[in-house]
Amino acid sequence: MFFNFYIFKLVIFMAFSNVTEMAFKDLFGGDLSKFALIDISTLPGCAQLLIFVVATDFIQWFTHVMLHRFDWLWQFHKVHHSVEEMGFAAHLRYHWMENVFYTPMKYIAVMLIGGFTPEQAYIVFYIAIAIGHLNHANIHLTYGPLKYILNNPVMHLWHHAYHLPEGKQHGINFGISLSIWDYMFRTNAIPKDDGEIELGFPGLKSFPKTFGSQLFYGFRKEK
Amino acid sequence: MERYWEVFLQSFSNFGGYVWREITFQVDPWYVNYFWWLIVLSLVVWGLEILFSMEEEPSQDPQGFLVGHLLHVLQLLHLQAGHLHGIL
Repeated sequence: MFFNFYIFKLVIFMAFSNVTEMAFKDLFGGDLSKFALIDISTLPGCAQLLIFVVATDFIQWFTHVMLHRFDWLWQFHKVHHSVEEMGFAAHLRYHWMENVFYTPMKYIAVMLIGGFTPEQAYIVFYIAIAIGHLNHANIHLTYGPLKYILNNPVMHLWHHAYHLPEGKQHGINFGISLSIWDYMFRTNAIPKDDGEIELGFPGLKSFPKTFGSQLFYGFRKEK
Repeated sequence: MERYWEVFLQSFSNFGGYVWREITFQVDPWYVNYFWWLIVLSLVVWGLEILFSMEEEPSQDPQGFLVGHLLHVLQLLHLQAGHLHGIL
């Protein structure tokens, strides 16, 4: 039942994003490339991929910060933060409304770098899903010096922490695949290095636990 | 407006067919298959989690641990493919 429900939902997303894409194209006269800040189509393949990663990751980082910053967005994002211990499956537990915010944002990023997705982008998606899975895994892993570039399980564990450091009440470690944005914008924090911390957010105890109630969470004012 | 409606409706059959072709290995090229990538990746990461759990002490409640992981697998089935849509 759940599975069908999800497939059903995914199909709805697909329809939604296709319609959005078409609306975008109609709105801007079909040719998206004129909005490009830079044209990456003449660059070699690996440079295209690199720019693609940096641009789409940054815009997702920004979207993620917004999900924490504004209360009405945070209501949806709470579904993802309702996990009480880390585990790879937490990666894919999120409110479907998040797609509604992330998809157009990614679309804008792609538009700004030339309006097309590089041919080899599947490698990027494969790696991004792998990093995302590992970030939510209950494994003590930081990738050594690469931790300043790549998001990692320890850093992301703290993103899910119940008790946030002082002065960071809107959250820390917003990174998606890259951690560099958090270091650049000083939203990084790893107060201590062990895995024994409480996860969640104030009010987690009364947060709905069932799939159905999480599905429609966030649309009404909770009492 | 009608065009939008058409695209909306087509998305259902297109995406349904696409997921089915992924599951049954009928995609070309064969190595761009997010469905099976997620399955394999999840099994690998799950294995790593069992081997290198961050908590120093193994779970006090082995049954709870097992149930927790089984729930994760179930969730994976529900939630896999969150990445499939969008700018692929």
